[in-house]
Amino acid sequence: MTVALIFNGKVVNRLVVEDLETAQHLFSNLTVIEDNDNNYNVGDNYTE
Amino acid sequence: MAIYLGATQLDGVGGGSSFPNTVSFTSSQLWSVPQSLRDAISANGSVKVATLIVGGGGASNGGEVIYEIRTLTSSHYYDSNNNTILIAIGAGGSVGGETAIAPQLGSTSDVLITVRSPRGGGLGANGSYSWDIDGTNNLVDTFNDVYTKSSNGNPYITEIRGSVYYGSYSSYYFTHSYSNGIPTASTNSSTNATGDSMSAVISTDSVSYSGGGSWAYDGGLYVTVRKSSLDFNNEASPTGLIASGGNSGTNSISNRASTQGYYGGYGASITSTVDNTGQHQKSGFVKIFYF
Repeated sequence: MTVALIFNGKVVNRLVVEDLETAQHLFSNLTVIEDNDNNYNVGDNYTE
Repeated sequence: MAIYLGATQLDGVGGGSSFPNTVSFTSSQLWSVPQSLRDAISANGSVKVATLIVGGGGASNGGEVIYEIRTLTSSHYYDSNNNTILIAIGAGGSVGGETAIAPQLGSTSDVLITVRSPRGGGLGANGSYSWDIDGTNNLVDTFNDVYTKSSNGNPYITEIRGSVYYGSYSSYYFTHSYSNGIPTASTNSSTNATGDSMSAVISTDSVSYSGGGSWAYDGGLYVTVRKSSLDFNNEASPTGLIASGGNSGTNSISNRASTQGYYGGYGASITSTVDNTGQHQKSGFVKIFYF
């Protein structure tokens, strides 16, 4: 699956991961959201 | 057919040109570093491996392809026990992701900035000063957008320091305690020998101060904030091994305007300046060759 990594309200990378839980563990200091539909590009703003 | 002298294989070995072991990654995970490599890093400080890294493809550019002999050191370990290294696999998509063998993300350093430096110019005995992250006292430019935020959205503060004037300038440290970057105490005061007092009320984004008698808050205002690094996203000075995603901009050697010849993934358009639309973008890839 594809996830977007959020840091300080911006998408900083898009990665392929096995599952969301693993990604959240790996990048515990970032916000990790599922983005299989490519809704977010690197550099986009993200608001929860 | 192998040639042996006793139990020793004479052909196909030696020469230093081949890496007998490989490991490949198509999704992000922690790589359990083989014991042989960990031992070499421990004994020698580093070990050389060959790396093939492909960034995630973008809409009109493929992710860049990098094949290099690189040096792994203890700085690449993800965990404190020095057992694993983070492999980040960039996704394909409208703007591709960056693929990296990355050091632990989010390492931090504290940075002292001068919010205002009026030494001799005078903030006066009483007054207030505030700063913010998007307004007139803009910290964004100072920190290139990479500073840590506290939970209230303001910069993560580790110390606020001002100076007072009492006959001569002396450094005066507001001794507030901080929790997750937010001051937890609201006031602080200092009293001189004659009983005059100086106090300050501090929040995450402002300070108000008042002095009595011969005290004056007059030596400048300094804030130490916490800066975080995202190593795989710092193309200017990467500490990991990075292959940029397609469409990563001019910093990426996969940009189709590049003449360096590094292209990979789908959507690659080596000589044309026309976007290569209609193709599915591939995600990134990492392969490591090692002894």
